[in-house]
Amino acid sequence: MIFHRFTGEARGSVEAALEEARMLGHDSLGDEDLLLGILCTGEGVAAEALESFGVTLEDARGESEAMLSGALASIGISLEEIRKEAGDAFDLRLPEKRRIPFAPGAKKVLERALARAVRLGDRYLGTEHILLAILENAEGTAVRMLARLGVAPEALEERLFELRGRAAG
Amino acid sequence: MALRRTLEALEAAQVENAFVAGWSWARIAEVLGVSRQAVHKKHAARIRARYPGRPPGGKEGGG
Repeated sequence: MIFHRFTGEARGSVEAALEEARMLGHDSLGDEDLLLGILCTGEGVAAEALESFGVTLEDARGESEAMLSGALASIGISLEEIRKEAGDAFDLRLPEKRRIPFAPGAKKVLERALARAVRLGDRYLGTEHILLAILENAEGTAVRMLARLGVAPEALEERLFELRGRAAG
Repeated sequence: MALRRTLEALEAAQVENAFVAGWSWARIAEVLGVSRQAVHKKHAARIRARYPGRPPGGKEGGG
């Protein structure tokens, strides 16, 4: 992957995404983790656009957990019951030493982010390009997560460009 | 993927709870249906780190 064009913020968001994945017990890094990573950085037009829709890191984490427990519930597994029965010993977080691979969808997001930066004529890859690429992935977990938080991809994209325009002008 | 991680975490929790209850590695292995070596390799380091000073296993002297 072409990390050398990443801004410090974009790189930081990917590192934060890996940590989010670990804490949430995701054994691969998905596009929803990339979204959480952007929220972790808290700076730049991407985070600003998300905040303007009232999306907070806590809400997004909560949604990720709710989607996970919803998926498990649909196949007859109650995380709530497991937590009650197994107690504190039950811990979904991944061990520190575990390497977390990129899920195919997340890899594609970063590739598309780069393509997006090139098309926009930007010489850098920032969190806004990552967010735009996340929004392109209509089937992705991140877009579903945003929908559950009441955010439409088109509206978020529009806001991003507004904020970009303001930053440039 | 979520299911795999959940099962892994559940096994870890059950082994830990059994250890805290004083079960030997041999007995834990028997219940899980795997070898004692396998349980030890997978869980001993993590659990010992969490409960330093506690002897491995219970009275049955496994481990």
